[in-house]
Amino acid sequence: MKKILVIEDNSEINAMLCEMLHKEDMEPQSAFSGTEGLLYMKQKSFACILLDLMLPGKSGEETLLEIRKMCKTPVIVISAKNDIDVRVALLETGADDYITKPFDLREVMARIRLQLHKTTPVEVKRLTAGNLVLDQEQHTVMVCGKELGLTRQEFNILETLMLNPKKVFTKQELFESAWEEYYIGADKTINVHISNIRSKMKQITEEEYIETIWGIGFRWRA
Amino acid sequence: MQCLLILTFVRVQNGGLTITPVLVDVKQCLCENLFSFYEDFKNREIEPKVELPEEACYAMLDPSLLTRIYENILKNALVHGDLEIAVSLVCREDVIILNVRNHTTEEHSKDPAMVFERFYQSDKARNHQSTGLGLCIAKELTIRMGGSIRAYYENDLFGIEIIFQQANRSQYRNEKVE
Repeated sequence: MKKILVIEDNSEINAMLCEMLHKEDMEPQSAFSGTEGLLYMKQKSFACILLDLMLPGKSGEETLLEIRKMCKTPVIVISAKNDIDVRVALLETGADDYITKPFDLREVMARIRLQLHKTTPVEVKRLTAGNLVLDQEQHTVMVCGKELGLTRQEFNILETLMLNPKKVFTKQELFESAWEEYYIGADKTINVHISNIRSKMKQITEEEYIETIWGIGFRWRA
Repeated sequence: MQCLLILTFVRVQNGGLTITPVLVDVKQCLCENLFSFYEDFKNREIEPKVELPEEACYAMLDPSLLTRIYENILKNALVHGDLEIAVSLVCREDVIILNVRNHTTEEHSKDPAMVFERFYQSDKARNHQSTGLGLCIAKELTIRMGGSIRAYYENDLFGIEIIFQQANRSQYRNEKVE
């Protein structure tokens, strides 16, 4: 079942959208603020996100920027703001579509389907390297058929390295990819994550997948 | 590339260069620049010795110009260095000290004061693809941003040392760091 995240602070509208998604055999997850929505995104992956702009706390615009730092999941903005500048700015900063309130449920559904249709065939769900398979949808990593049991941060780091196999990452870049809050002294955190990943791998295979570069960065060993 | 260097040089000389200082993590910027030369180091079969502080070190500098300085100095080390290249960044009291050293037997390096002269080149035949402007620009940019720069030569090692003021801690604690 397709998981759809609905970030909308108005509980009636939120419930209405979720009910519609249910009827369409989709799995809605309602969130009432940007922060709550981002939290769900860290726990599971969604096929599409509906995002209101005028949210309490973190605004829809800020939420969109953070979503884009995390993934390419299609985002449909639903808002009463009908200003053309706002719409253009949002589409340019990463929104995939824009629907103005008041909206017709049939139109929302049609636009969601359009986004799902666009993403389904091209979506890469599995990354493979030697005996290692990383499943982007299930968030699991198998080595020689055995599951590694990585934490969310460890998984994100591995995924980032695998997605850009030639790039040498600085510790800070990896730190940011792990979606942790910024803090000074990030290097130690990354060293710990990397050594945890390596020791989990070592229990299964002798093969080294992560290369340390000059003691200051990391790269996927292709 | 050469034209660009000369253009930059002219802009720096005319004072037609705008400097927009922001809070920069000098260490992170160095890492990114080092890795941008990853293939070049590999091709030269030199693994740089890198020494960095554990923590971020901040200074009020123009990030694009700092990148320019790093690029020019690292490129110089790659072109003229052999066997060994060492990069170190140290934060001491209120300053940040960058050292880039390379082993070399080239004659010109033994006269370090000259390397900042414009169009100063090691070999008259221009075997290397350089204009002789890289270090000159690095020096101008460093000074424009309030830093100091010097070149030295000892025990077959040619080195460039750059010192910038650290941004004071209270200044960056309250700001959002990008």
